[in-house]
Amino acid sequence: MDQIPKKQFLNFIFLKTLLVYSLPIWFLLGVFLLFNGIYTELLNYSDLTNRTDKVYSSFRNLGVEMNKAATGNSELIEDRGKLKDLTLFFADSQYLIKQLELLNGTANDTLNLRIARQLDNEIHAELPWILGTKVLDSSVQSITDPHITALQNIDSLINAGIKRSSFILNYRRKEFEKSLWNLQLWIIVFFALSIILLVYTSYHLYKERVKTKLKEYELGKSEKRFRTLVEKSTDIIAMLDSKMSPVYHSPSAERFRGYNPDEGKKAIEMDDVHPEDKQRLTDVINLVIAKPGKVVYALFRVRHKLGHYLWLEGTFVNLLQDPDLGTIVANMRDITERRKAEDDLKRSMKEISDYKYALDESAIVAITDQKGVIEHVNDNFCAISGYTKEELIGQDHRIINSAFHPKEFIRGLWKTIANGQIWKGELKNKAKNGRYYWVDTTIIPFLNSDGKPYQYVAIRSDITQRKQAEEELHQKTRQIEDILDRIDEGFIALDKEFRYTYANKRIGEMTGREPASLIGKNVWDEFPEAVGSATQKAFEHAFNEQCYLCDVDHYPPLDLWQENHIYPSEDGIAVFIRDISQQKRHEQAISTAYQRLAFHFTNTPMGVMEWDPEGKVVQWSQQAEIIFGWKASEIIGRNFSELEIILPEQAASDQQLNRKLLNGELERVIGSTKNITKTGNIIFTEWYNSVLKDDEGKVISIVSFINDITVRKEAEHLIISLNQELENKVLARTEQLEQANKDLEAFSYSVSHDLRAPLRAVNGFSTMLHELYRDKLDERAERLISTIVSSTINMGMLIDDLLKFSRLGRKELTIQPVNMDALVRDCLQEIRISYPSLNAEIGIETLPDCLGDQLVLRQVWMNLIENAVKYSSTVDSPRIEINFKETERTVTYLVKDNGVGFDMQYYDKLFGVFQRLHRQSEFEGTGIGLALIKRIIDKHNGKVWAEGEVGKGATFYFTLSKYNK
Amino acid sequence: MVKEVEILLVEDSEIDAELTIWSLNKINLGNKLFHVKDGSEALDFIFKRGDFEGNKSANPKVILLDIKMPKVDGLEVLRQIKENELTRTIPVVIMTSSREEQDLIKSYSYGVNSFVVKPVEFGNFAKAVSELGLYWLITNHVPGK
Repeated sequence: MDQIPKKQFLNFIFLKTLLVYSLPIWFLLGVFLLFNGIYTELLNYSDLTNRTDKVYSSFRNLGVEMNKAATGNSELIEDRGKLKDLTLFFADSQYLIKQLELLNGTANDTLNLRIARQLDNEIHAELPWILGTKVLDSSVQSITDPHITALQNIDSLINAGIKRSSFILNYRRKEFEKSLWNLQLWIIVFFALSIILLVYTSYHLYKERVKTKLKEYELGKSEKRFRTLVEKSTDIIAMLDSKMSPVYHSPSAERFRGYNPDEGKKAIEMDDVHPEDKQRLTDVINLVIAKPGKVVYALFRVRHKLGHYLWLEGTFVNLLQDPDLGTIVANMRDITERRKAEDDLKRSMKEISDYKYALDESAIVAITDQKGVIEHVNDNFCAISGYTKEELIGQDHRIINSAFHPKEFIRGLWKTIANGQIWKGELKNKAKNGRYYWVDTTIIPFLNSDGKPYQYVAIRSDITQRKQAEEELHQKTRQIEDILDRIDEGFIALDKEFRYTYANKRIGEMTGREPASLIGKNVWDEFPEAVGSATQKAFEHAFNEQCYLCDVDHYPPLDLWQENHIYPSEDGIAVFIRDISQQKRHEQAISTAYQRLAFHFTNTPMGVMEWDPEGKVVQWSQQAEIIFGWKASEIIGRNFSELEIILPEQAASDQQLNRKLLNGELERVIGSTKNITKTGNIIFTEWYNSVLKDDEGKVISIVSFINDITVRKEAEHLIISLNQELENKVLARTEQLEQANKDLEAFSYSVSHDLRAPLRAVNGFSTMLHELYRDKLDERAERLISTIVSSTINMGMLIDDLLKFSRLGRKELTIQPVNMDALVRDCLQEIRISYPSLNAEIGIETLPDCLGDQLVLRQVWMNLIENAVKYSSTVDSPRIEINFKETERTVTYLVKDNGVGFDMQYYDKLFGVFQRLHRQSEFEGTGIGLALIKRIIDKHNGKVWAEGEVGKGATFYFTLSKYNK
Repeated sequence: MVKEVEILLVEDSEIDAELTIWSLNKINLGNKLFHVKDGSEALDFIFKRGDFEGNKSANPKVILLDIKMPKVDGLEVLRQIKENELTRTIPVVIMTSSREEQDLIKSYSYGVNSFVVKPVEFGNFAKAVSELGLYWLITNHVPGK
């Protein structure tokens, strides 16, 4: 829009608006003209139609009238047959005439006019005849052709007229209808267009209105914003006319000078300007007026409400010629604070410069960057180091490094200053000529806004001389301290108030305190437990009397025995302290040991005697007095060899043993012997002799412990004789038992033969009897024989079992690993063969191995399984379960059945020989089976037991040692 | 003397002997049996001594030998038979009343051919004896003479 000139733009808007608003007018005008045309045409059509309608009616009426006339004509009525082609009848000639006139007046097309005119002629010619003549029937025939022809002519003319006018009428009507329809169409079109136009115009108008409103709003807002900006600004904005009178100024112009905007406008006037600045401001104003458009800078002071002056800085622009503004614009700012700050800064800078001068004059100054590279040194630095400025700048401080300070020290320095902290200390540096010098140094890090040092300033002062003096003193002191530290005694020096002035290293070790920490402190404050002690008294006495003293004291908190040598002087005392704790403790330990020894010596239940290498008795305990009857006073001091307690026959061998002890061949001798008491009784004694030697191995004495064992000895003798007796008895009993066993064996051997043979005979001969005399035997005899036979069988079984049982008693078991699983399965197979009718369901787990005699264990399983089979054979669905339980060392096997079971009440009888819980008729058996099992398991050191309930089955268990591979 | 002896029965008990013979008769082997009453008689028979000097049937097909007998017991008889080269091949069946472990051990160490415990029940006894007879006389073969 900016590119289009304003006028052109306005013209464009005007034309557009004109066009929009004139459009409906043009449109309406067009529509009006159109309607007018159509209306005229319609009117025309309507008129024409009316006329044609009249013509048509006239022809019709004429036709009717002619018909009527003809109907009334007697001539024609008489012979209608003649008139069959005639439709014309005439009635009223007047009416006819009238119709004819009407027709002539109305006929409006050439054809009809001609028809009408001919009709007029024809009818007029024929009228007298038609109306005036009374025609008779007979005369009908006399009707001449001219009349008839005329009538026919008239008739056809009328018909032609009717036809024609009817056609025209139809045509007119159609035309009319067409025009009417066109009109309707146009109306609809018009209506639609009108609506479209209306909508368009309304929309256009609305849009224009909204645009206008929006513009107004935007304009208002922008202006308001600018106004706010100006009014809230701390800058002073003013518009001045050509005479520099304010047209507008922002409220800040009043505010900054202390005026409240509510007080009414208070423009800056020339009187408010500082007198010194008036001329300059006038020059500026002149320049502004003279140079339109140029920005002119101004700086001047104006008076505050309270009288002081404020600095204003800003610009003037002459925009008088600007058509929109037409003013001079002034933009000013209060810079009083800034000016003041600048002044302060200047003053500070001056001060700093003075300080720097003073510093440079008095101290050694160097400035480095954050890496330690020297950026600046003053003359003092150059003077002491011997380097020129040029040699130093760009180097770091290593150039003057003396290598005296340890690395940790330098590192600590850097750590301190790198953390932004000031470092103070004394440094030893090296000058260019190799001379060392000491400087008291302060390094100040200068920090940037992040708090990181960017520069270090080092201020030093020369302390070399002081340092040297100190060094000498220090060395001397150290020498003395070294000496004192090396001595094994504690040394302290106390002043008049008994405050520590010195304590050596040994003191530290004695007290557990750092010697340095004691310096300056009062000895009684530090060791309050010593107040009132002998030491305190000795210290005070030695100082007061100025005499040497020595005391020994125990200090309980440290468990310290000390021997103090106190040397007084006028300034205080010096004390050498010897730690004698160890010595004291030894003394105590010895004393305790001695007491303990004495206690043992007195209270031991043995007699104790001790004699020296020469054989002289030195000790004789109370218990020794009791054992031998001799008092210590009677024995001590006498020689061992002449003592009466030793049997004469023993003396030689005793002497020999003692010699061996003395010459170190033996450490100790233990033995028993006989001795004589003072009263002459012989006693049994036990001797424990050992040698006591000193640290060098030299024999001090021989110590004997003597036990009187007379009572014990007698008891032992008794026991031995009793044992002997017992042994004899056992031997005799064993012999008897062996004999009994042999007898038993012989007995079972003969039983096995001698009892079975007659049985076999009874059985055999009974059977033979039965076979030979079968025919002669009656039923009763047969039963008797069969009873004999079965009894012998039973007895045979009984003997067999009994033999097995007794044989087992004699048999030695061969214990070895037994594969129980295989064994039991083998037994089961055998049982299945011997009991072909076996119907029990047998469940067996995989059994673990055990230790035992396989042969006899087989007997156990056979008996148990057979029992289970036997006792469960009477129930409906017998079931036998073979299972096991195991522990780490044992395994318990079990055979369980659901048979008749047994009553636990009779459990005691279960494993007895010949004991049965069932009648023979119920279950066969000898009553040996379980006894046999018990015997076998007992021999294995195992355990066998059973559980049962009548009618619910029984479970038999036995436990054996497990075989762990 | 008996013409042809195939079974020598050494049995001190008349009753047992009768039972044995009865059982063998049932299978028609009874007539080939010779019965001696004790050990010494048995040895005489086998070694053709005393009453049996010139015995032509000294080598029977089987000897049924009781253990417990007066004078010379069965084990001694067995030992002598099996020690002798000439008689060693004669099958010897020990028939005893009870199974005694030491008897079994000794018998087998001497080289017995079979060890049978006489059942108490006669039916079983007869069955055992007849089976023995049939086996040793008909089924078994020895190095021929």
